[in-house]
Amino acid sequence: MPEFLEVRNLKKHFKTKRGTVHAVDDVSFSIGRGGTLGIVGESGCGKSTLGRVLVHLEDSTSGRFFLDGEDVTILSRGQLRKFREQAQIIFQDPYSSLNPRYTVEDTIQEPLHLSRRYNKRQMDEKTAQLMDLAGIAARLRLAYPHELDGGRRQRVVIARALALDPAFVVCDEPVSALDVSIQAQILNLLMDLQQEKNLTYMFITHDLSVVRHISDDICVMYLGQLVEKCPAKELFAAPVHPYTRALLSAVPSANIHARRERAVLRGEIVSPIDPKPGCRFAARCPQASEVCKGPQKLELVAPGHVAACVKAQAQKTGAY
Amino acid sequence: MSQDTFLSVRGLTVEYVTKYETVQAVNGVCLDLSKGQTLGLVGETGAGKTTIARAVTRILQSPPAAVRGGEIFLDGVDLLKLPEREMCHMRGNRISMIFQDPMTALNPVMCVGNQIAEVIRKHDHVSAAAARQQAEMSLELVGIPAQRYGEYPHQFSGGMKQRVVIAAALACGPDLLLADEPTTALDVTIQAQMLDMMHRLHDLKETSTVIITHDMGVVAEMCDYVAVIYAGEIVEYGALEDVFDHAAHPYTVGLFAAIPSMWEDVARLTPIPGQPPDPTALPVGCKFSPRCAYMDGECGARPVEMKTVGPGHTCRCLR
Amino acid sequence: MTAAKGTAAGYQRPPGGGAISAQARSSQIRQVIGRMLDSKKAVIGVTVIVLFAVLAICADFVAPYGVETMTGDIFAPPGAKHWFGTDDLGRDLFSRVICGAKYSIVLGLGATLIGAVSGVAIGSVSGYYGGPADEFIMRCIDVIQSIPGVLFNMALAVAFGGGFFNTMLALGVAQIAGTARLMRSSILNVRKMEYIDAASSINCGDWRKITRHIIPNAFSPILVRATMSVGTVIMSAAGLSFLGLGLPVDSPEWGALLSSGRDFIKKYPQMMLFPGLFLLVFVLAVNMTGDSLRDALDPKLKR
Repeated sequence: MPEFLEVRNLKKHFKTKRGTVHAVDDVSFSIGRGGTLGIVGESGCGKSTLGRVLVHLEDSTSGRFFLDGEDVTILSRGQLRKFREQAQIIFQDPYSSLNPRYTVEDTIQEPLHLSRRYNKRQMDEKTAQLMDLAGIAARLRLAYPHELDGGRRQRVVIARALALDPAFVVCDEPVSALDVSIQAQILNLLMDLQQEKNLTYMFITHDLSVVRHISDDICVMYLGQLVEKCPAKELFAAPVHPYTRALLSAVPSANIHARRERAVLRGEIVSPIDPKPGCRFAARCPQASEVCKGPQKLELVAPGHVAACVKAQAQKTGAY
Repeated sequence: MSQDTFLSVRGLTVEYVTKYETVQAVNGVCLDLSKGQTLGLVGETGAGKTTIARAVTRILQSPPAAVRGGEIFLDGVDLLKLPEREMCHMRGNRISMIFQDPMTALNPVMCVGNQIAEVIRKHDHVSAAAARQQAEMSLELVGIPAQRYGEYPHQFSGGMKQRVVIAAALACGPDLLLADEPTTALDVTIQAQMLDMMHRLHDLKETSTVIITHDMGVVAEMCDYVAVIYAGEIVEYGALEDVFDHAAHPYTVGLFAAIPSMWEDVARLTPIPGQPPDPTALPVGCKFSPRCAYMDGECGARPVEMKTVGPGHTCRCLR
Repeated sequence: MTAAKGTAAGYQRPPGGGAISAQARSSQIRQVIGRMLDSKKAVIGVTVIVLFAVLAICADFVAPYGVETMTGDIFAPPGAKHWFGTDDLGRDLFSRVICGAKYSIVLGLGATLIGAVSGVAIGSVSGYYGGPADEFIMRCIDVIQSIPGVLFNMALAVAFGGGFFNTMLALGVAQIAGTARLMRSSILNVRKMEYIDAASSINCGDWRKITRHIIPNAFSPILVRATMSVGTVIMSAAGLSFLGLGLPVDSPEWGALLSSGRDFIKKYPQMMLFPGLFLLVFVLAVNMTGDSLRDALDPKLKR
C-alpha cells in the first residue's frame, strides 16, 4: 500500500545563463498519514524548492509524486483547485507572507471565499473558529499585519493555511523568523493541530533542535540530493553520512558542560549548477577518497535508515 | 567600578521619539566589561540589544533616537561627552562594530582589499603601500588568501563576506569589538567556521568583545559573561556558568525551557506565555511580570532593582 | 457577534457571490475617508479642488465680462473694475481665468486619469506575466521614451486631431509609457513577496491576484506620479496650442493664458501672474490630496 505522500525520483532543474541548477535532484521519500517528515539542510540545498514543488507552486522537471494514492504530479486546472484544498504551505517569513492591506479577517476568509462553498454567515463563523483554533484573539479580527508581532502573524498564516481543511501541510521554516519564546508557542500549536486534525507535515528547517523535536523521520539534504534519511532520534544518536555528522557537530550547544570537539568543515557550499557525478559533498568531506568520485546511491544501513555514502557501512561501525 | 573595567555603561537610557509615540528602547542599562573579556548580550527581537551597541558607538540615527541619560566610559573617557571629531577617531581606532548582514555592510563597487585598506589609511595615516600590506595581512588573518585582495563583494559567498567585514573591523586593532548577530545570517557549518575563527582571533589579540545574539548556543561557545536583556533592561547578569547553570530570573529560566533540545526528548515545549510588552507603554514595575508565573501584587507596583544572587551574579527579580 | 454581522450584510447570499466580506470593505472605505478627514493636508487639498470645481461650473454666472469681450481697456492694471487687469486685446483677465478653469481642470485630471489607468493596466500585465509579452511591451516603451517628449506629444496631437477631447486623449496617451514602466518595476518588487505565493496556494486566480494583492501594494508610486503630472499636462496642452495643435490658441485655458502672457511679462506681469497663480494653487491642491490619499490608503500609517 502506498504511503500518504509518496515522492519518487523527483527532480527540479532551473535553466540559468550559467548552466542548469539542479535544485532538487532525484529525491524519493514517503510520509505516512499523520506523520511529520523533517527536511534539514543549509541554504541552497533545495529544501524550499522541494516544498514548493510538492504544493505545485513550481512544476517538477521529472519524477512523480502521489498524495493519498493519487498521482498528483501533473494536474489540470480543475484538479489543481481540488489539490490545493488538500495540500497547503506555511511560509518562513510571516512579515512577507501576509498582504499588508488585508485585515486578519480578510486574510483568513479569502480561501473560504475562493472555495465558493460558504455563504457570508458561514464564512464569518468559520473565520471565528479558525482564529480560535490558531489562538488569535477575536479582537484582532480587523487588525492589519503590521499591528501584529511575528508570532501572531504566523498564527494568521497558519489559520489561512488550515482554512480549507488540508490533509498535508508543507511548513517551510515556519519558526525561523521568530524569537525562541514565541517559537515554542508556534511549535506547540503546530503539534496540537496535527493531533487534532490528523495532519501530515513536511517540516523544512535548518534548525536541528527544532527538527528533532517535531519530526518522526528526518531527511538531510545537500546540494539538491537526499544524503541521509532515518527516524529522528537515530539521526542524532547514530548519524552515518559525514555531512550529517559535520552538521550536528557544527551547532553551537547551549549546554556549557558538554563541550564537544567539533569537526569544522573546510570550504563552503557551492551552488548546484551542472554538478559532476559522484558525491557532491566529497569536496568538503574529511573522509573523501577516490571511490567518492563514482556514482552514489542511498544504501540501507539499518532498518529505516538510509544514507548516500559509499563508506556508509564502514561509517556505521566507526566510532563517533 | 573596579580597576580593570575597560568598558563601563552606566544607566544608559535611549528612546525613539516619533510624532505619535515614544519607544522606550533602553531603560537604564548598566554594563561592565574588563579587558580581553567577552560579554554576551542575549535577548529577543526589540529588547534593545542593537540600540545599546549603537549607542556605545554613537551611530544611532537621531532623530528618532535620543539618548536620554547615562554615561559610557571607555578606558575612563565618557564617550557620550566626546565631540563628534574625537568620537570619529575613537571609532575604528579603538571601537569597531560588526553588523548582522554582511551583504549590505560592504560597498559593492569597491574591491574588498581596498575597503579594508581605506579603513586603515583613514585611521593610521600610513602610505597606500603600507595600508595595502596591512589589509592583505588582515585578510589572511580571517582565512582569505591575499590573492583575493582585488575581488569584489559579489564574488564572495555570504560566509566569506562576513570574514571580510570582520577583517575590516579588526584592521586597526580596536580594543573593543561590538558584534551584532555576527553569525545569524550564516549557515551552521559556516557559523561554526566563523566562531572558530573568532575564538582564534580573540586568543591572538585579546580584544574586549561584546557579542549580541539571540542564540544561547553562540553565547555558550563564545562568552565569559552574559547579560540577559528584556524590554530594554538587563534582567540578569553574571558569569556564563552562573547564568546557564543557576538561572535566577524567571525570564532566563523560561528562555532555556523554550529551546528544544538536540539531545533530550521533550514531549512538549514550555513556551513563555504572552508577548513581549509594548515598548511605548511599558509596565511600571517588573517589565516581565505580565508573563511571569510567579507574579504577585508587589511585582507590578514599582521598578525592581538589581539584586545580588551570588558573587558577580545579579538579577532583577523580587523573589 | 458573527451572527449579527451576517444578517446585516446580505443574509443568505448565494455562495460565491459578492466580494470578500462586503461589510469589511465598506468599513475600510469609511476608515480611509475618516483618515483623510483627520489630515489637514487632505482637507485643504480637497477643499481647494472643490472650490475650483464650483468656480469652473459657475464661471458663466460669476464672470463679470464675456470671455472674448474686448472692453477696449488694453493692459489695464488689476483694480476694482478689472480684478486681474486686462490683456493685450482688452479682455478681462479675471473672466478668462475662471472661464478657463473648466478646460484646465478637466484636461489636467482627465489626461492624467487616462494615462494612469492605461499605464497601470499595461505595466501590470508586463510585470506580472513577464516573458515574451513583457519583453515586447518593454521594448515598445523604450522606443516611445526615446522620442523627445514634445515631439511625441505633437505626433499624438496630429494623429488624434484637434479639439478639446482629442487633446486630452493625446496628452493622456503620452503619459502611458512612463506610468507603465513605473508600474512594472513596482510590481516586480511586490511579486516576489510570499503573500503572492500564498494567494496562489489558496486558489486565487490571476485577475484577483493582480487586483487584490499586487496593484494595491504597488500603487503608491503611481499615485505620486499622477498627481505630479497634472500640472505638466496643463502646460503641455499650452505648448501644443502654441504650435497650432490641440486647443485653439485663443482658448482661455490656463496654459494658453500663460503662454500668451509671455511676451508681456516685464511690462504687464498680471497677464502671467494670475493664471500662473491659479495653476500653482490647483496643482498644489492635487498634490496634497494625492499625498494624503496615499497615506490614508496605507494601513501602516493608520493612527
